[in-house]
Amino acid sequence: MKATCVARHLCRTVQHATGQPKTVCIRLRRMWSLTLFGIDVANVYRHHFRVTAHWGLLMASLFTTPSWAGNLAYITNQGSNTVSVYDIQQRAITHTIAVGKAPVGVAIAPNTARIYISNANSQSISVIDAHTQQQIQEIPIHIQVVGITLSRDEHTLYAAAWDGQQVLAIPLSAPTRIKTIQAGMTPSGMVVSRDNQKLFIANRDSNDITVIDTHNLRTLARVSVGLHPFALTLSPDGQSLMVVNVVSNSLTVLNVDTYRARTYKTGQHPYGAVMSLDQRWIYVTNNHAESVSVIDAQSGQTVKTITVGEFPEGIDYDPTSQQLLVANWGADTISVIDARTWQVTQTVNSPSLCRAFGAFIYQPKALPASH
Amino acid sequence: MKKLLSVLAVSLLPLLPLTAAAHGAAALRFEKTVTIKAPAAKVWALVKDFANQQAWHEGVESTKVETKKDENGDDATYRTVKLKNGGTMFEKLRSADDAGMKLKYEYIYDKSTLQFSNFYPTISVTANGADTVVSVKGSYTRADSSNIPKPEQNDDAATKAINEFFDAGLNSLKKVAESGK
Repeated sequence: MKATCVARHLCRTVQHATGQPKTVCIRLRRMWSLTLFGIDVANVYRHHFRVTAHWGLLMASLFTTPSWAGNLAYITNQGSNTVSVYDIQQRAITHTIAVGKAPVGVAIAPNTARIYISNANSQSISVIDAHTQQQIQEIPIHIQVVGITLSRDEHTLYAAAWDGQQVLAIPLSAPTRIKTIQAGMTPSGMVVSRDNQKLFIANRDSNDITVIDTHNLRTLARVSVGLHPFALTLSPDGQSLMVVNVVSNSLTVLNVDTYRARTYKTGQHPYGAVMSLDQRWIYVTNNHAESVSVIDAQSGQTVKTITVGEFPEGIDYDPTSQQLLVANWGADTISVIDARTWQVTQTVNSPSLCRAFGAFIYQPKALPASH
Repeated sequence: MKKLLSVLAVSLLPLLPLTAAAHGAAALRFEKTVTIKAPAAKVWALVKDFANQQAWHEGVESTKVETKKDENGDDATYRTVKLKNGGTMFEKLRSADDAGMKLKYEYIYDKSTLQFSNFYPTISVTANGADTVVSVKGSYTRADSSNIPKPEQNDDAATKAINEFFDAGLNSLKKVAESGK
């Protein structure tokens, strides 16, 4: 095997359906794994040093190990106890990973290259090594877990007890030293603020959001939203929290500091939401309408409804390729939607009852271009 | 020791109250189809009549409909279906699409007796040449969403109950639609 190093600029013109064209450059830096492929270490060091002359970057690059081409989507298959790994650039499923029983939620740790999966029926968390695409650990947590999310420093995993009123804070360096957090009824989707100060919990059966202080795990606020809030997502700038209200057929957009809320109409039974990188559009899966709503983030108007498979659930946005990925639970497929044209460009089979609950796209470290 | 601590930590969690509204963490999928030798329009006329399920389901005694506000304050159509075996199903009409020949409704467990929950079926009627294919598809969960469900309210019990209801129903729909009436 030849030692190769990929350091390139990825520039493309971004053109939204109704937006101004803009050129975006990202420099991707990748190296083959030294241990995995048995490459001459000195050679790779020298090569990289020439390219970057930057020891920090050099050291960081040693921990990124692609056996793939693009960003990766981790799709949980509740019915087959596996996770499908979809390579967004290759447009194909490259790995199928065996995990626990009834996997649902996904949490991505880009710095440590770990993927965490919640297994509702085995009441455990699977830890996947993104280098080898294998489960390396299964952490028993003894709760029916659906929603999971990570602290921004990737030290703590939060796991919501679906049949209770608690969230577990699991220190990943010592996963037995679990602390409990008081939540509302049926805590489901969760996300941590960009500054790592707050944990937001959607309480499906108490129709509100619990805001937790991540330092002392105490409740800072309870904010009422619509009926049956389920999934949560943050805007790219971290200022807005988007919550889908399943029974109200609506989306609450909440300011993360003031908790001031706006409510937008969605399609039937919204299950997931994500915002475009330029923050103009919010994409919502309508679980009972086989569709994705495209909502103008400013006006709240639905500007387009895109037909996908039956019972669409998880949705995430890949900023590199500007593709949206949707897991269709009822159809056993993944819909790939081009966010520039709002057209479905590919439908991929995924074994059984795919859900992909949470932010499920893994971006191996992308460094901003220096110019 | 670590394992012991973990068991201890988890067993110290306060006992959690059961909530009737809580959904099972992992919903199940129901799918059943039947091919009927009758025109699709005839089959659809039977299926879409939300107030008259006894016309095609042999297990149904009577259907009573009412209009009232739903949880969002919108007017909605509900039906109470009395079964011949003494059971009750309380359901909310979500849509009846004549162009697409699709009926969508919701089974509301809290006011019903069959032991499954969160059931949101779509009944689709599709012409296939001179025949008609009827499919029922939907997600559902067990009635007891807790960690260790009661045997009569677990996933298997829910699957059995839902299958029994639709096996009988689709058989009799076929009989009724294929008869000369």
